[in-house]
Amino acid sequence: MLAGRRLSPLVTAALLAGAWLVGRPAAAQSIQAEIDRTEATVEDQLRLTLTVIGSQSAQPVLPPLPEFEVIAAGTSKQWSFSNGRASSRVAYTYLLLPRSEGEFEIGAATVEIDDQLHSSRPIRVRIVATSAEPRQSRDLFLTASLSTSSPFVGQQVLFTWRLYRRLRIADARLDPFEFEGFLVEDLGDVREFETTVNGQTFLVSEIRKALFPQETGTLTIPPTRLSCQVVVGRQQSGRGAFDDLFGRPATATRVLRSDPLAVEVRPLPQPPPGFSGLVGSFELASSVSQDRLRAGESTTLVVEVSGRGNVQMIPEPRLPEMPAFKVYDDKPGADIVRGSSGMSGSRSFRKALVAQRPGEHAVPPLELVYFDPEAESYRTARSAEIPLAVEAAEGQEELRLTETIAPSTGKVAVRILAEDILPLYGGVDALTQPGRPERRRLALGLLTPPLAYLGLWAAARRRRRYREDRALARRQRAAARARRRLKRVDGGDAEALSRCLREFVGDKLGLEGVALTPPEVRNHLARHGVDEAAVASAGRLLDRLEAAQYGAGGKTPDGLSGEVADLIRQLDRQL
Amino acid sequence: MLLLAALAPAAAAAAAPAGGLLDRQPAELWLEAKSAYEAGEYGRAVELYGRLEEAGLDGGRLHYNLGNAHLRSGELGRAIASYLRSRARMPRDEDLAANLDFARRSVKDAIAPPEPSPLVATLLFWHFSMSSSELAWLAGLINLLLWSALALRLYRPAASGATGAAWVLAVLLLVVGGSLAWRLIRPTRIAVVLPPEVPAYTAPDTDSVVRFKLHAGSELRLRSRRDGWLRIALPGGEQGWIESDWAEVVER
Repeated sequence: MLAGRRLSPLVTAALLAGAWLVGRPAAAQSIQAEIDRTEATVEDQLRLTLTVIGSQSAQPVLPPLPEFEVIAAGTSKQWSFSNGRASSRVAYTYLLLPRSEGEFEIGAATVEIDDQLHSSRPIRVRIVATSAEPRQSRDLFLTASLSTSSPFVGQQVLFTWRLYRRLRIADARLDPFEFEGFLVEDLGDVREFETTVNGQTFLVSEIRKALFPQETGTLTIPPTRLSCQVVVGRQQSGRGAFDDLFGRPATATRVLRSDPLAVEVRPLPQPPPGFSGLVGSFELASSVSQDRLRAGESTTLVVEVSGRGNVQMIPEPRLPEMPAFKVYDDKPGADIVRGSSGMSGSRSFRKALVAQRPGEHAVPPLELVYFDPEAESYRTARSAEIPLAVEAAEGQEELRLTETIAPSTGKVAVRILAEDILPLYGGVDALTQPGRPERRRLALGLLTPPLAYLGLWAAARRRRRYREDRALARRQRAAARARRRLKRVDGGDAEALSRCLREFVGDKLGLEGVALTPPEVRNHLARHGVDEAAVASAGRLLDRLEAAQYGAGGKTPDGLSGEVADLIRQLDRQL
Repeated sequence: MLLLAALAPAAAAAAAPAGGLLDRQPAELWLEAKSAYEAGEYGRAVELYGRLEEAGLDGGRLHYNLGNAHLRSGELGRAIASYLRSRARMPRDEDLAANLDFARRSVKDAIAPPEPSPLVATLLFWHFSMSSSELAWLAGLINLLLWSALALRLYRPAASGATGAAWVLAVLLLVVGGSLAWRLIRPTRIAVVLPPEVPAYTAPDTDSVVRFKLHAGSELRLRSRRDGWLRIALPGGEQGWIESDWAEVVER
């Protein structure tokens, strides 16, 4: 018999091989459910073990367990040999954390092995409220309390939550607080301190919140729940002395609950006119930066409301009509303190009062109506009347929009008393202001310089080539030169026309044109690929010019000049 | 001549109101709008400035005045949109900056307007402190000088400094021209919310879930448009869809 021991992989492999050799596991296939106890409190945890017999791979299926939070806590495998046959047992362990009290049935767990469904037997458990043991005698407990259980609507109630512990805990998880019907304000971070309860020293973690009931009637703050790991000792693995040094501490999951808290919220009595909505104790004070001023000058009125209670809701006290002053609002200030004893603080409201006319004036008393829960009645906080003496302005001084804050220092600090937008542009020059750039014109503008550059580049290149190759320059410019010569020639001068034509041919072909005879011209043109008609035309024209030159007093018939020009154009295209 | 030919078209299109659209001279309308504003008839001022805008006027001061008139008539969203348009045309105007700042302080949502970080704004100062029109002028001028320097090299290869100047001008043209091209090709589009409250949906469909709500004057980066809907993004990256009638889109 070899069971309950951790096996080396080699031995396990050998056993598996043996098991395979002797055939499938012999023991009957089944699933068993066991629970470590059938009665527990809501703060305890139950250990449910499902043992699958006859299969290493089949996974058990838990029944629905809505009354518990289920945490998987590992598996263990066992092999055993009996009468030459192998059998396997796989134990799946779960921790069940009760959610509520009552008697529940843990239904049948199932597992499917070789297409056969096996079920465990259901187990009944009873979950009782809490341990009969008083909290203070335990090592770990929660408390939650309120400063009052019967507040008025809007009254500040301090909620104090504490975790007392004398054990090492880890992985603490606190469910979110639920304060339905309350406005909630945090009062700082978690505080940690030590305290002594019944002669035992506890480490305490404390959370405080200020609650402001928003509804009348009975409101309930449900229990808060905290789960954590508690160190209960060291794991045993049977490996000897090294375990003492390196064994991991064994932990157990604990779930703690505080008691639910009931709050009976009372309505406020019939409020008097002008009730501010504040509940608590409050004071009202007002002051001015200077009580003597000239017409046109300003003074700053500061109204401060301070107290304890729902200070975050302090409204601005209504300022009575002050016809002798123009009143400008300034930025209000707030100083809210969230201390362990609740919310307190002040809000200040600043006004710039600009005197309009001289005389003996005053800032009238301001009032703030609030409800005092301790006295259970409404009270009115009042500020004192502040006299303001306004003298006539000097000369025609205009209304000043700035005020000297510290005149005694010699330096003048100015404060903006009113803000407004700056005026319109009036000038009609605004009508010629450009708008957004037009893409087509922009592209045209940006492309023009590079295109112009390309033109210049081409011209420069041609000029360079002509400079380097005179024959080319002569050839390229031949037609233009001929046209210029033709313009200068008297239309009837046969010699000049003949010379013009021969020089053109000479320029084109790189020859001394003046010395060419008509037959030479014909020969050169034919050799350079000019078509026969043009060659013949050139020969005929030169012959006629020669005849005219020597036969008719050097004068040519009308129209020969035009023929020469046409022939030059024709030859220019072909050469 | 070359200088004039290059610069004139590169300049921004000067405002040339289409006279046919106006019953009266633009200057007359302009002065009447100012009088209406000063008399407290802000709606009338908005209408008159709107007519000038419809007629083709697009200057920064017109948008500034229109923004003031909108703000006085309680149209916070339209006022901020007009100020943003004005800022695109005269980005260094201090009066405009003050009025835009004033209007933004009245916006209910605590959403930072989509502005470049101070570091980016400093590094790319020309991009954020010059209007598109100014950038166009500058690019045109640099372009002309660059090609003139290159032309000088053609005819006076020995001219000292022409090559160096051409390189410097080429880099400047790349910087300024790149900035201008970025603005024209991929302008930043801002959607300014107009009604007092607007729901932003998860999809362009009024039956989808309302993801968040926006209020008049909030400025949001516009991601895309689709069939009468605008997909906008909050500074944190959260996105939502609002109907396009509920916002005015401004290009920067």
